[in-house]
Amino acid sequence: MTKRTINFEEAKTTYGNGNGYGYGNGDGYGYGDGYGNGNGNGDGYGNGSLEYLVKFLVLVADKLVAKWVMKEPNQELKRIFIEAIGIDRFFSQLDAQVVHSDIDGCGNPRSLLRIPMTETTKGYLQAVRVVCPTTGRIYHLGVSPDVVTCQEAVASTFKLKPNNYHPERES
Amino acid sequence: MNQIRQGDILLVATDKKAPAGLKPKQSVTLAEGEVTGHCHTLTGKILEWNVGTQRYVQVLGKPGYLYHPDHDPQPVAVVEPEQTYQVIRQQEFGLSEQWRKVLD
Repeated sequence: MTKRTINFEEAKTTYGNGNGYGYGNGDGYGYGDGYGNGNGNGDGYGNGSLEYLVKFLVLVADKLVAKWVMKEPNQELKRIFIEAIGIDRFFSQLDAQVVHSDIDGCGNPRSLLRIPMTETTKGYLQAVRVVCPTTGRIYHLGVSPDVVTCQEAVASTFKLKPNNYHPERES
Repeated sequence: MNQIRQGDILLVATDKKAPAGLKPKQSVTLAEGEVTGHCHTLTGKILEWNVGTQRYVQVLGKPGYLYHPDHDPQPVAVVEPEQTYQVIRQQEFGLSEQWRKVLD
């Protein structure tokens, strides 16, 4: 994964001076569309369109904190924040409930994780935590709220039923 | 092997037959590596075709080599010849409650 570097001076220059939706401790970015008072300095977004907000969030995604996002009362904004963070980072930052766990075919642990989210149909988000057998890196993949086991979760990410997913070689 | 996984790519053996008249390729990119720039590559004498949204490959003669800078930095000859495989790209269930392609 490529490490993204944030240039706040560039962000200020690019996105102008908005008022309002700042967060963090004066890192110099925010969203000026009348969403209320943030804790940050609010330098940043003056345009106010959703399109620009999304572009801006991509720029500062590494600075978004899942715990802060979970407190966001605006549902649409919360969804956009989580999309910007990404399911992988979002779940890695929170203490999610472990719904199921097992060992995969390479001997690595897998966990099916759940985070309450009233905005969703079932009232929660689910992701499966897996370990790459070659790089050792941990990944979190979003899965349907209907799956109940790790095998079912991973198989579903390849559009397969749990009994039909059995790779003989993994790398 | 019936199923071979390399990162976010899964090859699943199937009894589908290649359409007549296909010209073999020496290399097929199974996935682009949109984020890292690291592609999943299959080399050999390869037939590649699509049926609707389904994608298939078949290696002719000798085993095909899979390569990826992170997962298999040394190409591995694990794709059986004369066997058709469906190429399945991993997907993720997003907040919009729809499946979307995993970007690697």
